Amino acid sequence: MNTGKKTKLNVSPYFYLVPCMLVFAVFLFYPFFKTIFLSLFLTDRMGQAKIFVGLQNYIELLTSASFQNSLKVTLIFVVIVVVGGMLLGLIAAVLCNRAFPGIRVFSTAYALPMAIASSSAAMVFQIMLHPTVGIVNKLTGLDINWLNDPNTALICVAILTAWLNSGINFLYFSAGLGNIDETIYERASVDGASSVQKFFSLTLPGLSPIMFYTLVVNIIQAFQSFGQIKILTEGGPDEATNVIVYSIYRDAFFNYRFGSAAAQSVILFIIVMLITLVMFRIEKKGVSY
Amino acid sequence: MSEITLRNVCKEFEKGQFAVKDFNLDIRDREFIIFVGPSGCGKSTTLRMIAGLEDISDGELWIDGELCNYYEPKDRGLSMVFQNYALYPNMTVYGNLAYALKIRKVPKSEIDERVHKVARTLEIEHLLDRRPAALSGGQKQRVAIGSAIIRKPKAFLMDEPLSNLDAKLRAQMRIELAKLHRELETTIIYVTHDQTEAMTLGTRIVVMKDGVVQQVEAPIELYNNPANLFVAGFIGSPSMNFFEACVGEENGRIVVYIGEKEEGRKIYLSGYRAEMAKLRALNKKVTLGIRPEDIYEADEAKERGFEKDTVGMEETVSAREMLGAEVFLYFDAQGKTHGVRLNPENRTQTGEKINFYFDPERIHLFDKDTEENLFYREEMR
Repeated sequence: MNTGKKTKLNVSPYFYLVPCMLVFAVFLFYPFFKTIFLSLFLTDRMGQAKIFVGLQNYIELLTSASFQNSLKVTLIFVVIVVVGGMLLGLIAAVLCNRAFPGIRVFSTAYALPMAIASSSAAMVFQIMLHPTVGIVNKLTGLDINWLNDPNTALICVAILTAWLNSGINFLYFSAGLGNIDETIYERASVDGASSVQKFFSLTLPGLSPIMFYTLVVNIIQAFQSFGQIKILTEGGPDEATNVIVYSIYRDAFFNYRFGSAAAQSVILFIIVMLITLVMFRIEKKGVSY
Repeated sequence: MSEITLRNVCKEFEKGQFAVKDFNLDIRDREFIIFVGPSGCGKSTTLRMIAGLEDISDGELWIDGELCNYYEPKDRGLSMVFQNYALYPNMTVYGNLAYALKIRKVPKSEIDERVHKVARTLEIEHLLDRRPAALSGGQKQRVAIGSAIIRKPKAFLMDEPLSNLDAKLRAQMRIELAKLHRELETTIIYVTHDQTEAMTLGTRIVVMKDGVVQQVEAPIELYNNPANLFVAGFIGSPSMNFFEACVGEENGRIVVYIGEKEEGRKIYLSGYRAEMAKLRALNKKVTLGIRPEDIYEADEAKERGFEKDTVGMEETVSAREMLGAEVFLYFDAQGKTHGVRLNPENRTQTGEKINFYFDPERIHLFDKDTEENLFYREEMR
């Protein structure tokens, strides 16, 4: 009797987890393990595993110049997107952190990129950056084919992505700023601190917990950017914007090399996981309270 | 030296709505000035205007002979202790204490010396490496005070600094603040709603109500000589008892009748009090105020020799509180409960009747319309 009761008690908590686990299993765990499985095979055009090749896909990738270029491009892209997106969000949040007439209009404007689909934003950018009719060239008086020049294409796509991400960052930072006790600024004023000193000694440390969270989310998000690249440059010109996610898409759905695409996915997963782990290690030192 | 003068200072948040109106005050060097009043009376707003955290809508603020209305907070040379301590959460206690000096680019060795000196004075030397989150309320309080005194400012502004502490700690910090004031020899402006703090700490008390200064006086003067009904009721705990009364004349003597004349409860006035009552309230209704300790039982009234000037009020005791050194008896009259503080030897129990006598030299009469104290002597200031 006693043991029977015990088993019943032990089962019930898992029972509650079933619905959630079922969704996870279908949409997360199965694709994840299937990807690892596929990365060890050569596949047919339908994506079915045909010939087991072991780590051959990985070896080919790591030695190929194209993939090395992808890694480099991705890294540059992520740095620009994360730094740009967070700076934009932070500046907007600090500007909006005081009451003045029209604050709601500004807040909405700064948060708006969050609500815009990356593809439609990309279309707007495409027209703005157009070499002959685009407003950017008209205003600056330059004559640059922004999206077709290997030197500028990656930067343009990254800046667009940074702007798109700045909306949610603005919200995070606004919430973080709202949590900082107003009176410490008053005390700092009486203590004699200037606005700049207050920003660096109070605001930034006060934001550090949310800053860390935002950083992790931004890095992961940046690695996964796809829509705007697909529309603006399609990885070109000359692979200048061929970030890993786009390279995966191209290998899988244009070249029908699902095995190689799966291997790239696994490598991307390992990179993101490692960065996240390192970030959490650093958190203990970097977040000041 | 630090003299702070406020001339007709006003704070108008919205057109026609004054949080503070025509505030006038001369604060002398080394004074311990208390702003006291119920919440929303404008005392904190006034303090924040002095600090520079609120704009002054109208009037002048002079600090040491300089007009400071438009000075930034940091240029006024004052330091402030906030109600919630306002410690920088990301800095250690050392960092909190050193911050104001670091900003002013004081050499590191001097900062170190001053931080340790202040920490020693306030007995927080062992806490220097901790962050505010790891401190108790009392410790935070000390750090906040330490960060204020380390700068050697012209004056300290304190905004209800003890209100977040428990009663025991508050009493202890009160004594330490008084000691600190003696040691530092600086001006302190202190905001509180606690009249015990006001009475014990202040050299002068500013009583405020609805943004208007009611009276500025030394604590004991304020207690004995309140300017109006509000001050009389606000200062003192338990507070003053108030009765409906009227003033009349009997055989050439001025009499105050408690309630109606026909009830026969009367107090004969003499000297200055009789003169003032006759001049300002003869045959008029007034409010009579008397503190709990100025009401006596028959024996003591006889001893003190005023039983012939007062007709005793026979009342039924509705509650009794024995506090050891004193006993409080309460009785109901005119729809209110009144308190009497008596010698602990008094054995009257709840439900029993007792005769109370009011000390005619200690009663106050307040005008029904203006609520002014008829006996208030301005020259006592």
